[in-house]
Amino acid sequence: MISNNPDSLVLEARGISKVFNTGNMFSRVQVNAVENADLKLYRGRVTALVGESGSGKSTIIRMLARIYDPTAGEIYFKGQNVSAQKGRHAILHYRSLVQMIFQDPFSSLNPVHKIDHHLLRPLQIHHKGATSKERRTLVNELLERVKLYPPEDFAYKYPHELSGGQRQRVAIARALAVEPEVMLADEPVSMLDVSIRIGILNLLDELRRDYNMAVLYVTHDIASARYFAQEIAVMYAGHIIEQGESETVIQQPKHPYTQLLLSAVPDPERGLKTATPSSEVVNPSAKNIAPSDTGCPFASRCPHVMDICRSQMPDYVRSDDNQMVRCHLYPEETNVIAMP
Amino acid sequence: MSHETTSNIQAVPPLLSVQGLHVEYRTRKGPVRAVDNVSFDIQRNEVFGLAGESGCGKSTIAQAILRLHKPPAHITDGQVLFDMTDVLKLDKKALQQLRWEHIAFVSQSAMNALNPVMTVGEQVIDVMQAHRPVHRKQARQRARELFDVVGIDPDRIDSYPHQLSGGMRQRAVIAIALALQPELIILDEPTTALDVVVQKQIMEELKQLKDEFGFSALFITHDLSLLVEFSDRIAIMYAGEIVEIGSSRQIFTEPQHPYTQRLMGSFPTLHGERKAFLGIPGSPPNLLSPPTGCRFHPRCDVAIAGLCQEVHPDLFTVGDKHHAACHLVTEKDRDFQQS
Repeated sequence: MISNNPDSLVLEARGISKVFNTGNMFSRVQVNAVENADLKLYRGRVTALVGESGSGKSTIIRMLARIYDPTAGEIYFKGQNVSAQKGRHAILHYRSLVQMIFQDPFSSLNPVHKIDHHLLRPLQIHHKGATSKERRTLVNELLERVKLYPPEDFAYKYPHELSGGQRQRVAIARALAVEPEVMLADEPVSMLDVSIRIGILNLLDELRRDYNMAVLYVTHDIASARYFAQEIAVMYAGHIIEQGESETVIQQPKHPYTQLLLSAVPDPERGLKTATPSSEVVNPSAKNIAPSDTGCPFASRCPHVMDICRSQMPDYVRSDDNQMVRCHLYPEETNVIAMP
Repeated sequence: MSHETTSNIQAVPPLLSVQGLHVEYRTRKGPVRAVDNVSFDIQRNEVFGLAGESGCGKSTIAQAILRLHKPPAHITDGQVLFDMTDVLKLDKKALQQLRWEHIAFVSQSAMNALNPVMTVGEQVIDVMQAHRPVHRKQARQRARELFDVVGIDPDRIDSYPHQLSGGMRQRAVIAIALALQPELIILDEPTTALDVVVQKQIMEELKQLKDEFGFSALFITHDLSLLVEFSDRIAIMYAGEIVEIGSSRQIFTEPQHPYTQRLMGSFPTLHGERKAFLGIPGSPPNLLSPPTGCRFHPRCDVAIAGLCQEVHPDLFTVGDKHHAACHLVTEKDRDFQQS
C-alpha cells in the first residue's frame, strides 16, 4: 500500500493458516479456522481486523501473539522469521516486542493480586528497572500513562474494586510495561459500557502515537474500526477477503461480503427517513451457510455468485492503489483498465 | 409531569402505561434502587425504545412489567397499567393469562432459553396449547406457519435447539412470542448476542411482522443507533431514572440532556466526517449510594456548581412530548421566558 513505507513494516504474517482438530475418536473433524492469511502491521499505524464471530479473527491475533502456532505460513518481525524460533527464551524475547490486550478485563486480571502486582510482574520478567524502588516508580508512571489518577491509590487496589473500564486500562498498562513495538488488541472494548468505549480507544490511539507502536485492533464493530484504524482487513470464514485504507474500504467496498456487512450496521439516519430501508443486499438464503471446501466461502450467500466462485477461491487482486480484494468479480484485467 | 403527559394523550388510552415505578434490589449492603420513579406510555402499534448503559435498570423494568422479577428484586411502588388493568394487582391465574397471550417477552439470552431436550416445534405447540384449546395437529400446522413467518424453513420444526444456529434459535423464540398474537412484545436486547448481519435480518423481519400483525413493542438495547433506526419514541435511562424521553427524531437530532448528547457522541458512524469523539468520562454510579442531586453530575462537564449536586432535576418539557431532566434546560428556558 502506497502510504506505507516498507521500512516501517514491523510485523508481517505471510500465508498463515490454522487447522484445529476436533471431534471425538469416532469422527475426526478438521476446522480450518484461518486459511492463507496475509497481514502487515506498520509502525505508528492501527490496522483493524473486522469480521463476525467465528470468522477467525481471534485465531489470527493469537497466532501473531504466538499463543497458537500456525499450521502453515510464517510470521516475520522486522524481516526476521520468528515462527522458526522456538523455546522459552525466544518466546520471552518476542513478548517483549509484541504484547496483547484481551477482550475480558474481568478475567484477564488475577483477582487475588493487587494492581501493582500485575504491573510489577512484566517489569521483573523483562528486567525493566534496576531496583525495586525504580520499578515502583515505573508502576506509577504506567498508571499515569493510562490515566488512573492518583496512581498511588490504584496500585494498592484489587481488580474487583475497579470498574470494567479501569480494569481494561490496567491491562493496557501491563502490556505497555515492556514498551512493546506491537500492541495486539482483541476486542478491547466490546465488554465495556458504551459510554466508556470511546475513552479506551482514544487512550490506545494516544499511546500508539506516543510510543510509535503498530496496533492490531480486532473487532466486530466496523464503525469503530473506521474511527480508530488507518487500515481495515475484513475476514469471512477464515479468509481475509478485502483489505485497504479504511476510508476506501468503508466508502467503496468491493467485496460483496463487505458490502453486506456495511449495509447491516445500524444507521439512525436510515430509520428517520420514512422510506423503508434497503434490505435487498441481505440475501434471504443467508440462513443456511455451508462453506464449501473448494471455492469462495461466501458463494452460497453471494448475490453476484458465478460458476467459478463455487469451484475456485479467488486470488488477491489489487483493485486500487490502497485496496486489495479477493473476489472473482474483480479479475486481474480490470485493474489494467482502471489504472492509468 | 406525569399528569401533563397523560392529559395529552387522553383521546386514545395507551396500551401500556407505567406510572411511578420503583424497583429495589434488597441486598445485604442495603437497598439498590434499580428503577426509581419511572413513568412512560406505549401506544398501540408503537415501538418504544429504552436505552441506557448496563445496570441502568432497563432490563429490570422489562421484568417488572410482567412481574418476572425474582427476589431480591421487589416492586416497592407504582402502577403498570396494561389496557387499563393494573398488572401489579393481578392474581396468579390472570397473570399467567397475560403472559404470552397479551404480552410476550424475548430476552437477550432467549436463544438459550429454549428447552434443550424438546424440539423447537414442540415448544411452540406447548405455548399454544397452554393458553388455547387447540388440537395438536392444528397447533403443529400453525407452528410451521410461524416458522415460515420468522424466516426458518418449516421443516426445521423437528430440530432440537442445538441443531440450530444462534440466529435461528432467536428466530424460533420470536416465533413462540408471536404464537398467540400478543398486543405487546417486550424485546430485551433481542439481537445483542448476534452478529450484525443476522441482527439486521431479524430487526427487518420484526418490522415486517409488526406491519403485518400490528403489535406494540418495548425495545430495549444499549445500541443507540439501532434504537433510533427502529423505534418511534425513545426514553434514555441513567442510574435507574429516565433522563430524557421523546420521539426518535427529537432524541437523535436535538438531544437535550447532556447524558443523551454524550451518549450520542459515543457511537462512531460509518459516514460523514471522521471527527474525534469524547465518550463520557468516569463510569456509571454505584446505585447503593447514588450521587446526590442529579445522578449524572459527577460525569457532567456542564454541571452547574451548587445546583446539580444538591437538587434533583424533574423531567421538564422541552418540546412537543419531549422531556428532559436537567437543570440546564430548565435554566435555559427560564432565561428564555425572561428575555
